[in-house]
Amino acid sequence: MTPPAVSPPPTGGDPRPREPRDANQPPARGTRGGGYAEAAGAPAGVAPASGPAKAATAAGAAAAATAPRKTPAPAVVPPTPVPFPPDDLKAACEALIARYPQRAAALIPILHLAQKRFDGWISPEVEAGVAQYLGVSDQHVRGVVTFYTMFNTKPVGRHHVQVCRTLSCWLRGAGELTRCLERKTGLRPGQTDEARRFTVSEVECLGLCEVAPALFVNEDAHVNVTPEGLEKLLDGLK
Amino acid sequence: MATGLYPQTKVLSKNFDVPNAHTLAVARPRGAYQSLEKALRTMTPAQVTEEVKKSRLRGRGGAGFPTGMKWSFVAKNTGKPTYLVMNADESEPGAFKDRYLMERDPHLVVEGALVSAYAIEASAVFIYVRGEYPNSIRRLEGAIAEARAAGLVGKDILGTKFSCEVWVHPGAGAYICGEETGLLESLEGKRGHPRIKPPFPAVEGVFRCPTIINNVETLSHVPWIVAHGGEAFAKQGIPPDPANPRSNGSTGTKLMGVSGQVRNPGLWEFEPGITLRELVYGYGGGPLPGRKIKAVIPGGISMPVLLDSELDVKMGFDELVKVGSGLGTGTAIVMDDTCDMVEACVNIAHFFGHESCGQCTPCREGCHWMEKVFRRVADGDGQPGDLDLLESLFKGIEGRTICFLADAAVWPVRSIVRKFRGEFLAKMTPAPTPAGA
Ligand SMILES: Cc1cc2nc3c(=O)[nH]c(=O)nc-3n(C[C@H](O)[C@H](O)[C@H](O)COP(=O)(O)O)c2cc1C
Ligand code: SF4
Ligand code: FES
Repeated sequence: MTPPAVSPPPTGGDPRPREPRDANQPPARGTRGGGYAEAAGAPAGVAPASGPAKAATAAGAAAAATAPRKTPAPAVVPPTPVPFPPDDLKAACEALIARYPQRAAALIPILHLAQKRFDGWISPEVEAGVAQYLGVSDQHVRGVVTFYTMFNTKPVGRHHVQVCRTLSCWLRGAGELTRCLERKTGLRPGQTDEARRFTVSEVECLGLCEVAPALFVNEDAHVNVTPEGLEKLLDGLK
Repeated sequence: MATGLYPQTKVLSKNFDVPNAHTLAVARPRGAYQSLEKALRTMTPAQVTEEVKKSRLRGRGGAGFPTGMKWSFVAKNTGKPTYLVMNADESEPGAFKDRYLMERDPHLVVEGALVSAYAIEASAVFIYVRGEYPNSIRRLEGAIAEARAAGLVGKDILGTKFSCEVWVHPGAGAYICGEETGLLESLEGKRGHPRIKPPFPAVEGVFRCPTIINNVETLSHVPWIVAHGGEAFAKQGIPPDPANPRSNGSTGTKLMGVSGQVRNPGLWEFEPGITLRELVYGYGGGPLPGRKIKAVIPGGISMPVLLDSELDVKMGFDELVKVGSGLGTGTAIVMDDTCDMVEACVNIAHFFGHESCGQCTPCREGCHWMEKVFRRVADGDGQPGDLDLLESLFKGIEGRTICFLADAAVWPVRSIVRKFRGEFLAKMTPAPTPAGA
């Protein structure tokens, strides 16, 4: 009998159930605290050219668990802050800051603006620029960026397809949509193709449960989506 | 339904189907801001609070706390400004009611915010809208801009001495920012880590100032209460239990919805005397062709499930608690006989594991443990004792954390494990293995 993939919570030692980790898979979307660890060594979320990852065998995973890390931790070079805010955002940022009795409270609205302005993701350089502007530490901004799922810590495709996986959508066939996406784009949730046409994500409830299954492409909601409808939609996105 | 459908009562939803009701030009002739005018010109803040107390309005964000009582806790004479925060995070799975209010009648939402701010003497309102609601954010910002231009928001509103700003603050994707103190942290530009209470927000909330936090739907009721009086509101719905002096009943109307495996998912407004069965079968249209309803969560995802045989319960706060569940957000999720309940548990536990803020070990670790145990049972790898293991996890998680997310993670799956034990056991029967394997 092969050992079960997950052992019961043991009574002593490391209390965490361990799952075999496939290096080709995106990091598990777990507790909100990935921080730098999540980014370290990940090739910017771009799917490997070798195509879809193959499932790890139990034996392979066991070996991987004991093998030493292949890539040494990269030397830490502090990012060079981008000048922030750029001229076209200055007025908007200042208006936002004026709303709050504390400057730092404008961080999340400003990160939204920054993400739109700088290529759809928040790079360490943008983080540092925003941190300087608001008078908080880089680490504070990093902590916020990694906590909220709408901030991308890696470059994303022109079309960010976000499929709701939560209960009401799942009950109405969200799983088929994810499979259809993988068939059409070769991407699993968390991946971006090399041409940066698509990023595929699974997200939690979008508040469109009465018209489930639902998904977002960037900011546009699509509801009552069928696999056929999704294929058509994808074909239309260049 | 042989007897005809339970009637709808459209108070909050009266403008939902009116074209362009989101503009001031349409909303104002239909009565928008009349209650604001009445409150500012003819009532003191204390009188507004008194009407809300008389109305017995209870919070629509999930917990059902009496709104008037909450307002009376706000610390006075602190020398600091008071803030009102409107909770429009609406990340509860299965909930979509606040979105209708914000998109279809944003002036009602803004008016509710302003009248309530007047009652607690707040100098500013922050409406915290989840980032995944770009349309709601646009509609609210549009409504606020129109109201500002008409002298309804800002300095000396309607020529009175009352000044109040209203700002929309976008979230960025985190369920936990619906929890009131997680929301406050997020509003201050931080990770949404719920705070240990006390101090309660009414004493020390956002920016360390007295703060009242209420749900969108809760505050949208306030204009009607001001217009018609608290007693008129209290006459609707389910009255308080006369035998219990502390009971508040379920007064007024409530937005209620159905999603999941029914013919006609949607949103309606009723007095809470409607039963869950009438909601699911009457308005929700009942099961999809050829299927049977197996389980229903009455409000959102965070409450225990009820079986088809348990649906004859009124959609009231106390009534649902009595049958071992809760009203939650009042938006039911329906699962039918094609739904694999073990997989449903995987889905639910994954949600909470993903959304845990990570501060408390029982929640951060426990939700993932639950998911993994559910996963292996679903995959046929369940081990003898897994159901006991789950029960011990439930015990280790519930009631041991800073906020209620962890409890909310336990309630639905625990009720499923207990009510559908057979489905779990059926997956755990060891499959015959070839000799020697
Ligand atoms: C994990 C969690 C998530 C919550 N999410 C929401 C939410 O999205 N919207 C909301 O109004 N209340 C939410 N609440 C309830 C709030 O903490 C708070 O009770 C409510 O906003 C108070 O408003 P009310 O008295 O008007 O209901 C949540 C609570 C918890 C524990
Ligand atoms: S219970 Fe969970 S979500 Fe709530 S504070 Fe603790 S870890 Fe965070
Ligand atoms: S469950 Fe998918 S939108 Fe709510």
